[in-house]
Amino acid sequence: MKISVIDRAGQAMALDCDNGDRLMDVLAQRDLVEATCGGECSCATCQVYVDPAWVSRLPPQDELELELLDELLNAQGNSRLACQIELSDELDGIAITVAPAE
Amino acid sequence: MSKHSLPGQAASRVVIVGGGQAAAQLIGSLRSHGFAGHIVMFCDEDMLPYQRPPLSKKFLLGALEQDKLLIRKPAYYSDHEVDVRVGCPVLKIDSAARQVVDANHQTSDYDVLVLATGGRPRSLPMIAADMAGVHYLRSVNDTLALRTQVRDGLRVILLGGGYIGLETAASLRTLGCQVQVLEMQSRVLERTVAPQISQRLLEEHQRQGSQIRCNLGVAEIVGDQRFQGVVTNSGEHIEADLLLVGVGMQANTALAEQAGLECDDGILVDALGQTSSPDIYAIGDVARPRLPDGQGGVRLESVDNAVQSANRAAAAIVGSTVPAETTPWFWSDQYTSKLQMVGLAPGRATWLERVSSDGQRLSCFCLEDGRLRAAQCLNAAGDFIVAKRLIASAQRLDPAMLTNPSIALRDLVNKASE
Repeated sequence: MKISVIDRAGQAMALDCDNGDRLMDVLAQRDLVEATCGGECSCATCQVYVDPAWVSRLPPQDELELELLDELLNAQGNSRLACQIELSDELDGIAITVAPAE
Repeated sequence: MSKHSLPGQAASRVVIVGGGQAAAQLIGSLRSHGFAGHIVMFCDEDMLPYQRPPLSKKFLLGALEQDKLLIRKPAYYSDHEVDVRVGCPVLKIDSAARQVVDANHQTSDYDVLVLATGGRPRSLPMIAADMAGVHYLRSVNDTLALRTQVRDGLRVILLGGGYIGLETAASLRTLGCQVQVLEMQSRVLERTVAPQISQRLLEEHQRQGSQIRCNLGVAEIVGDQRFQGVVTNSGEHIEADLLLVGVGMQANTALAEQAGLECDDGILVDALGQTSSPDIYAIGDVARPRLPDGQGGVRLESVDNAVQSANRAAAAIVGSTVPAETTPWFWSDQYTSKLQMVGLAPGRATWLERVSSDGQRLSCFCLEDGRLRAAQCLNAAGDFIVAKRLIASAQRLDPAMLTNPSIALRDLVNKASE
């Protein structure tokens, strides 16, 4: 499967990934986000903006993700932490933009 | 332009000794900077760079597969033309000839050498090296070895109430073991966290049915071929099936010392990661900052430090603008408790306490001249994010407002200073 990503420099790219990959890993392995904590919802460095057409197709945020997003200066209504998003065939083609570093 | 070679010529061969978080980050950072030269990475372990934090938590619990530990997928290294030598330690550095000699007795030339050799678990002289039932926790193999021993009712003694000891204690208890933690100091995590946080974590472990015993050391290890228990320094005999030693890490400085680099509980480095030899850098757990007076500063053992130190060294190697040093941060997960910390507090610091009205969330703040120097947030992830900003803004803070949970922390951030 593929996902569409716009990185922090504004460059658009299509990335290959597998069913079951975490979105954060796909981005971190290409150095597009820091993801220092490795997906423990601790560092909040993997914020992405999800294309509005895809937002409702993601499982809702849990309490911890909401708490972190609440405090991020760059957060928008379509913000998610990529560590909390597991890619599946239903998300094939999802479009996201990597949020600026805090 | 690099300062390591002739004008107009960037360093073309970077050799990395070590294959952990810092090494993986350095590679990514070099390539992101557009470094097109040759990169060789030597890993002691027979595995590509992987995340260590889950080793005491999700990976020990069996909740994370081994290949999910990898920091980058195998294809990354070939796609980015990184010459990876796994299971191949470096035996010697010849700094005059700018070469390393590896375990296969092959030499590799470098323009820049980066030491990311990390550390190994500290042991105690009284513990026999080959005694069955004695375990450490630093590598994937350590966790795999521990996992083969785990069974319901296994009696485990954890020596040391630090992060490794407590996180492993939580995981082993969750897996049904009987757990006792022995800590020499008067409280767990004594060296790094506020007393209030130590107390909360202690209570959590006790609630889960583990014993945490402070002010208690080990005088003797009982057992011949196999571990059978300990005698404490108060004379008590404790029978057990397994000993997990979590008494800290020792920096792997042997190669650096042999090469004549300045070392003192770590390889001494400047703000860029440069050692006493200009074309050799050290990053991650093994690197210790050299203070202006020449003494060693605080050597950090953390993912954040591995990442930041690698990024600074990579920028210096390619001759790019070096990112500013950031305030160090750390985290630990034990059971469902989430501890996030930012900044280093002095020993015996005075901590201000902010407790949520339901008592569940605890944040401790250490002020210096009225400015936030360190924050430790237990089950208060939002406070942690704001505390990072409060430290960065270096604004003066009113302790009464900081500790009042009915005032949102974010409302204290001085907008003008952001």
